[in-house]
Amino acid sequence: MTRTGLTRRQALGLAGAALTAPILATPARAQAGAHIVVVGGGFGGTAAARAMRRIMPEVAVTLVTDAPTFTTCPFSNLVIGGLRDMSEIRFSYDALHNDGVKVRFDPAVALDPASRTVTLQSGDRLSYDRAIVSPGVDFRYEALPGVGPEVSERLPHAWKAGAQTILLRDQIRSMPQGGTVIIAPPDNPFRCPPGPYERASLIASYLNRHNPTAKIVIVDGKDKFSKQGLFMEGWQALYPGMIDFVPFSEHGGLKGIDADARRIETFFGDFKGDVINLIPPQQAAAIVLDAGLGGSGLWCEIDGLTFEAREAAHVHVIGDAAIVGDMPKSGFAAATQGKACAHAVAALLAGREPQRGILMNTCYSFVGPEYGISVAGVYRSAPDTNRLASLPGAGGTSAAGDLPELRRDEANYARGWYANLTQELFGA
Amino acid sequence: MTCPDPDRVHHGVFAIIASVLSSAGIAWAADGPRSVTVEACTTCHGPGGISHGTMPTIAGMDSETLAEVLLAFRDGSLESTVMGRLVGPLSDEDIAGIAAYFAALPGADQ
Repeated sequence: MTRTGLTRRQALGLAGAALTAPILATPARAQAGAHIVVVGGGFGGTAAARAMRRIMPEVAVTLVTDAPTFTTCPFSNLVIGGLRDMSEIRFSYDALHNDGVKVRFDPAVALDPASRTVTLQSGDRLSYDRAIVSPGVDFRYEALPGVGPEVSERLPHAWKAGAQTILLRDQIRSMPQGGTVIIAPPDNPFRCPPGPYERASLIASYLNRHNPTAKIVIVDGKDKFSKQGLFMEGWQALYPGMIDFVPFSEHGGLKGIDADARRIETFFGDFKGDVINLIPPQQAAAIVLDAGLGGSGLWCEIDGLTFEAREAAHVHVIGDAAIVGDMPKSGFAAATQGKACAHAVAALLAGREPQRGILMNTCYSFVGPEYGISVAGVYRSAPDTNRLASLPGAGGTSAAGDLPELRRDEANYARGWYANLTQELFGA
Repeated sequence: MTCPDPDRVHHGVFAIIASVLSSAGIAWAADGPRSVTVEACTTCHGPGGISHGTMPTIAGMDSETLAEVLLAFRDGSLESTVMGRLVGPLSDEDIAGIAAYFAALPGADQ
């Protein structure tokens, strides 16, 4: 018996019965001439723009972003580890043009919910009926002791993929034999919670091949991290003794940063590296906070059914800039939210009640090139609060233990995950 | 297994049949009752359910086979890497609807 009292045979019959009815993807109807402005050409914005055109082809969609190509943060750790080329994680917006999305490489600099306009760097102003805003994060350099944005030219963050990814990769490649790489991740919340630890893993994979006496020290802004047990198990199996994790409680926080000497000072001692990957604390991108959408905080509160900002009507905020209930700040989550947000916006434009559907997140991490692990979650907005809450009986991480076949399978699925995700965002 | 009350089973099934049929009738359209939920599948299994990677293509699959596989992931009788962690909250109606939706989409060779 299944949990609702329906037998498997009956459920199968239903699936068959459904086929006897016409199943057509008829687009919803919107108010004539509606204009949606999508701010940000990353995972959330791209997914939302394409879904919007697919669901409601009569709606005009303009996506505004910085540059003609997008480099994904997911899989950028493989580039740093020498396992992929930059050209394999860089995508154009050609497919969006073909979908009828107007793409402008003229980044948004201001959002005014009162006049429903977005101002671009060029000075152009776009009016919208609804804005879908997915601008990602900004770094809070002011939260680091005695340094500004220029520190990232010496101690790369590589937390926005592109030139920074190459900078960190090349610093590691030119490091002396037996050198030390320091990775300094921030406290929560920040973009891609498992990212620093996948990065440590893939740098270790590179060093194992090219610089086997080198060390990696993680000087963390917190005491625990995502998929910690699985990562540590993998480090022990693949790179015994190479990666040292120093939790916040053992160093007490950053007290000073000497970029020239490549040294970070903490309250309980100093750490000297040959390469320092300094990942600053983060907040919602300025365009969101400047528009007052952060309230008194650093992130945008939203309604989990419609993604509409709590602080402004007709502005929907998705991805890393928003607090999306229990969903993590991941590219995959942002893409999922982008599609769900497009459905909600379509419903609102058509004067319908948005659906309370199920959202999912799956994040794979590589511990080694053929050693994958994952974390998953399933979410639905609560009927009383609209908060996107984790659903019980689902989610969690890969099984722990010595399971080489599972790790190999998950590495393969990680590659498939990336192929399909990027195909949905940027593929024809 | 206890013997189910035939009336309850009948009403439950009737409700689900009505629900799935009306979903299909309204079109798995933009406003179909599971049009948000099926978007969760394609992020991994590929746009339109056609995979470009390791995950299987689910578009054009036989609906009964797809429903059976999802039910087996849910009850744990079929081992998986991640699917068992995703399908737990899906109701019978969700599974029937998802299976019908992808079965109706053109497969990779169509």
